[in-house]
Amino acid sequence: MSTHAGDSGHSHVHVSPVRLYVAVWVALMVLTAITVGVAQVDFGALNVVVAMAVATVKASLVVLFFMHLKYDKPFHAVAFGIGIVFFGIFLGLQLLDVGTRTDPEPARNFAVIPTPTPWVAPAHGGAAAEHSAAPAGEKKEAPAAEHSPAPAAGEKKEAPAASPAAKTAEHK
Amino acid sequence: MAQEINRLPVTHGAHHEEEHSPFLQHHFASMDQQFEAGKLGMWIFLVTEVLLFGGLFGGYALMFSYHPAAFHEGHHHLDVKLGAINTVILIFSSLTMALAVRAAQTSNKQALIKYLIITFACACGFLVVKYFEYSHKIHEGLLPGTYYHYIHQTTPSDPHIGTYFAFYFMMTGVHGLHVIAGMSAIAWVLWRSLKGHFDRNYHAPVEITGLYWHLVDLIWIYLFPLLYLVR
Repeated sequence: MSTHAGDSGHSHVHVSPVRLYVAVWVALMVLTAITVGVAQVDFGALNVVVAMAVATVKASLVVLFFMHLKYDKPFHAVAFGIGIVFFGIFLGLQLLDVGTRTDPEPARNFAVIPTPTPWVAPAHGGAAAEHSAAPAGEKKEAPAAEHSPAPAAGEKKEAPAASPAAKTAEHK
Repeated sequence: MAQEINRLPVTHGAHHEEEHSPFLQHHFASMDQQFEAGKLGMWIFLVTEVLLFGGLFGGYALMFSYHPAAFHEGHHHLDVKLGAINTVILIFSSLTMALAVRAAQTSNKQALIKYLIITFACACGFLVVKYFEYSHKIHEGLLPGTYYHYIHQTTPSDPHIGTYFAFYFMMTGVHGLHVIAGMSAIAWVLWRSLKGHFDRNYHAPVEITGLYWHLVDLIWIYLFPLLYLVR
């Protein structure tokens, strides 16, 4: 508020001294060195927590002093703070879900995982399986079939069988 | 209602503490109102940016917890030195940007131009380092997903190593786009500074560009340890 030269009533102008900016910068440099140094020490599962804690201290310095949030209207801090809170809810609930699962290999639920043996369409047993296999064969022999919905269904059935096989081949 | 709108310029003129600025848009009553509206808009935009990157951070947390071995292996392919250099460059550019805003607040045109040029140069330096990192990885086949084919492979990779590089390229790529967007904004502000548009009464574009640039720095502060250091 010291630089109000009088010609304009700018209530928002808060000019921080250069010294403050340089001090914040020095602190950020020191914290960067700490980030790199701390990463050489193994804290086990706390590695991520320590790294993120240091990063959050750095981020707070940037937001408070470089972005002037400390001297800004409180409303801006509320607006930005709500964003951070919602990100926290988003991440917190997600980690809660991941951390409390009992599935020994949750990654199985993802399609990108290469399966040990190529998956083939269940052609054996069951009238339903035979029923679905029939249009697939029909499609190969006569691509220009009259009843269009049937070959389309056959195509859909074939697609998942082909892609995991291709994936395993690539990974081997 | 219409009467009120018609009266606005008159009221504005009556407020003698604020002479009419050529940069006052007609839909704002005063420079103060214009400045505050712009700044609040930027803060809300920054919230959306946090949430945009939040999705990527959430995905990273999920896949890291599922495949820690792949992520440990992946980060060994990254050059911590180059990442640290980029961190120093970006934090320094944040300092010069803050000083540029200060120069605008104190009507110091020479300093404003000087600091904006330094900030822009730092951004270029960041992208040059990024270019060398990217080209090195592309050359060695350290690519996302099924495109991963490390050419110096001795021991078999974790099958999920491609996931790590998908996150690496997506997160640094989106961040890189933000650096380019920030550079465009800085270039625009620099051009207007050269024309002498900014002083203590009008410097909203400098300040708002500064806010954006600091957010780009902020995101990198988290990306650097996550991608280069965490194991």
